[in-house]
Amino acid sequence: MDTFLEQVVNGLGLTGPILLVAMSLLTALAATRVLNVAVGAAYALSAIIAIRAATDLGITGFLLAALLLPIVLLMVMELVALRWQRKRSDDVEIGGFAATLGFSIIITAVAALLTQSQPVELPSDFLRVQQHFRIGGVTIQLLPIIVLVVALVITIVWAWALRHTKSGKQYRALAADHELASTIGIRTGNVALKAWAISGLFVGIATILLLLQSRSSSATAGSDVLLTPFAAVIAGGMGNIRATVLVSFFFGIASSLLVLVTSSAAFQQVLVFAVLFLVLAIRPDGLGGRKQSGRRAY
Amino acid sequence: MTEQGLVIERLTAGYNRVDVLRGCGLTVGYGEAVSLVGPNGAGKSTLFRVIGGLLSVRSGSLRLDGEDISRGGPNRRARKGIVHVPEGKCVFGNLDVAENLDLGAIALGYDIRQQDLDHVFELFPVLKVKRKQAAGTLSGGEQRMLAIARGLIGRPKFLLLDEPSLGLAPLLVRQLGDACRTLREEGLSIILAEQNLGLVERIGGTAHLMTWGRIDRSTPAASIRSDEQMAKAVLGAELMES
Amino acid sequence: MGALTQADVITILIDILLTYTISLTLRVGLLSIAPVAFQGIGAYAFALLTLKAKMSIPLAVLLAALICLVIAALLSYPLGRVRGLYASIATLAVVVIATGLESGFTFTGGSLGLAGVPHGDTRVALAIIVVIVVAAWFWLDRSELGRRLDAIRLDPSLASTLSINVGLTKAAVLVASNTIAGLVGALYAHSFFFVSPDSFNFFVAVQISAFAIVAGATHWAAPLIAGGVLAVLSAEGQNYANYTAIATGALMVLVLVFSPEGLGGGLRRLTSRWRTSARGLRGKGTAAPPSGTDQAGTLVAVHGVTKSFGGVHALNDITFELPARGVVGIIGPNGSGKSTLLATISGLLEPDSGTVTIGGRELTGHDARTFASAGVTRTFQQPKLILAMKVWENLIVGAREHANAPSVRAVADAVGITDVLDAWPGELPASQTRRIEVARALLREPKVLLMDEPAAGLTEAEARSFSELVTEIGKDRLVILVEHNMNVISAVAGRVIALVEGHLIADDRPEVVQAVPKVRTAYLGIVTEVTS
Repeated sequence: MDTFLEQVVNGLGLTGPILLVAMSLLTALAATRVLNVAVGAAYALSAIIAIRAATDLGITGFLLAALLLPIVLLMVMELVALRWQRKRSDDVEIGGFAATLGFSIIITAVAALLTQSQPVELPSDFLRVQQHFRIGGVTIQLLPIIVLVVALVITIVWAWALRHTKSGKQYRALAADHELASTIGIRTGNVALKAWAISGLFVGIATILLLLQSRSSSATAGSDVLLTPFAAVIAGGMGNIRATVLVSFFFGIASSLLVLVTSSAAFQQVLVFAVLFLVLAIRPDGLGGRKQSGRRAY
Repeated sequence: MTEQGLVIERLTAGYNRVDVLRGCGLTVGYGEAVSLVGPNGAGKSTLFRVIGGLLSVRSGSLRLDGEDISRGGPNRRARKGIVHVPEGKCVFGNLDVAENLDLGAIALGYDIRQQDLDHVFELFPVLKVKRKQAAGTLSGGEQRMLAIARGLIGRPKFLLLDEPSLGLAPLLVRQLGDACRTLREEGLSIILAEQNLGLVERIGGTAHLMTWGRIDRSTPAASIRSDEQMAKAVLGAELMES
Repeated sequence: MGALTQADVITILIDILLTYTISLTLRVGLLSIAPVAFQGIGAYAFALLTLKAKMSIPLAVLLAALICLVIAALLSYPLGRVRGLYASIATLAVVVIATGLESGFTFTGGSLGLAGVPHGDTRVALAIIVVIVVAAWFWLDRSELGRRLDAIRLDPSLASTLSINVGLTKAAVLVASNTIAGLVGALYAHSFFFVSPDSFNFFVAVQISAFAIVAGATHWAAPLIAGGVLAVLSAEGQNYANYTAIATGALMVLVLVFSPEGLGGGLRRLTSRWRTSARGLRGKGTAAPPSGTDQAGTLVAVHGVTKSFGGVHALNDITFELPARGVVGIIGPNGSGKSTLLATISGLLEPDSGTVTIGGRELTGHDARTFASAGVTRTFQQPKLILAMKVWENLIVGAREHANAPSVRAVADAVGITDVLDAWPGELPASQTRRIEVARALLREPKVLLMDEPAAGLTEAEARSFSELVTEIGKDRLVILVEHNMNVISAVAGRVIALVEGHLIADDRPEVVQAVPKVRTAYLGIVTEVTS
């Protein structure tokens, strides 16, 4: 029973990173309908450079590198690829997704060049958070709980902002119909760029918090960071925040409980993506997804 | 002496290798109503897309109060007070009616004013009733009213309506005509592209016949059916005989 | 440039084939990266069959491909169901699951994989498969099937109303693509002594999909050229693998931005001048062959149909019967349920209660394609034409070819669009695109033709000549016309059904319906003022 509880608590710890990255994906999605697969690669490269900065420049350098680099990377993607694609056609869902695949290749290769494809690590004494406390018979690490709380706060603030703020309404208008949004006077370019910058900021926050947990990165570290949140966003219906949160918790706890059954870590992603595949097979628009076609009622 | 209103001179524009507008000229002063009539493919929608900023000018000039506004995208035109209600899909279906109206102000960078909101609810009472309903669930006619209302929220100087009667039942067309007339009396300039001569007559002002990418002939809207050349082009020859 | 080793040649051939398999999915508007997973499945199947079951090599290759065929067929149902981006994601899931299982199980050798797979030179076998695939694609570009795939890519919802089975076609394409990849995978295992999950993972899948996107899907030679060049580059540049990866990624982004149809799109544009012309169309035959329903009885019967959206009754207990010939108008204010009624008769919407019977068969609850094969065809409020195809291609896409089929030229003559057969639909005015839609509908030999506001946006002169066309068409079949323009209704319809707030309030000759008080108040307003 104790080990079960411990795994559930562990799972909550896994949920934080999933939710953080999922929020980053949702942010870009909310305004531009593009699912950004390059978030994983952006994380990997930023983490590598942040580790260099931590070694050479200390905490300030670490924080600046981790926060700013993803913002810059995502803004460049928006400016270089998506903006131009949109000039050609309003339908950028698949094209935009594919373009971020391309960026993912480029960024991963740059990261591999920088590290000679070797993993890099944070200095062992750098910002170690090892505090933990015990409730009942269960040991709880402080850091994963901080990550989860930060992720939840970001989620709630973002969900509120999307519904009630001026920017939020503009994002939703943009996602609904880009040309119409522009016609009524919305500065669509600025709004899309801002959404991607915010998405980059969330990647930055994830980079700091996840690095403090894992303490290492490599050129290919991105796919591990990306894939589960990615599955959570899709299974949640691409844009439905509540469903995405629920699925993230489910994935976090289920992956953790899987340890009780099998020792192989490889099955974690099998579990996540098998669930995703089932969800799509049963409900092709995801759990919280509305029908994609904007059907007129009458 | 400065030039007032929207002035278009010798305008050409088009798609791919085809020029749709071929030296088009049009002047619209403040508080005027201008209707464009004529066969399909003459360039009415294209002219609207150019004025609204969705299509770029190839040559000629487009000026507002003497200032060249031919560059820049649609959002810049909207900020200059030119609101384009395009043909077809014209509302954000997944947002509710109130949010759609909000966007009319937010898009231009300020908060919605209660008096503006009251004003459009007065013009289109159905929107007040359905303000919490998703815009996509409104009927075609209601969506069109919502689009016009959203445009009015931004207090435009020029309202471009592209075939607003399309898909509207005759009763609604009449209501729309009355609403436009009221707006015009309040000082708004209305530019209309329309096949429904009843609506053109109801809104009044000047009617221009557009063929082959330029404006061929102009008459007061009230006498559109009695002007022989105009009626021939719009109504066709047979009706003239009967 | 150094000489290519045997291993390089094999890698290049395999990459070209995988590019073809992913390009094939692009052809129907999907981006499936599952072929890389199936390459892995084929490779592991071959390795296990030879190592554990000691099977002979040719048998193991065939059996591995067969296993992939079965798995692909099983997966094709869920994959065919999901649309657009979700489908790409589902294929990504297949890749992640496959590599996860390969590195998780012990019998597949875990993350190290399996070594000691029987080895042989597969260059000739792979080259033969390349030739077959290229030849098949060359044929595809010239066939009706190819045009169907194009229609699915360019406008899937339109394709299904043209009675193309979109789901099944996509599923078949996925099965073909994955099975070829599985066969290639078996040969891959045979070529390289060992298999490991890393050879088929997410990163590899992304790289191959980059090749396919650069190639595009619309020309037979494009995957050969693009896949070949990029594969040679990455084989030659193994020491600069990261630089070639950056170049590949950048090329992929550039293609997506500046030429979304890829190299194939460019090649197709170059060759389209002499390839796509209406000159090859059959000139003989008639415009309107007998429709087969000569009996005078009821063709369309709607009984007690009710449909509501979120508590609002769009249709309320609607009942009427229509004969096999003539023009019937449906009028009503906005939101009165006209479009919903039309959607119910064409099978796009299923009524909450009540029945729809076409030609004596009750079809309630069947999909739009069943309605289409029962002879129901429709035109849309906004004409739906595929802008990337010429007018004549729009006319024949999805049309069945048989001995009695109406001739495209004859129908085009009858409808009055002969002059624009070689034009692009985007360059034509509404009066022409409406007629093109009508011609396309007539080529499907409809028993019932549904028209949703065909006169909207036409000038009065255009509307009048369009009315004449509708009257002509109604002589041989049933035409149901939803229309606001009372002039058109009065000119063509022998009978008018009026709806108000989902209720049928009148069903009679036009002049009688126009005189019904409720119609006058709810719909026409002061009728003389608008239509005079």
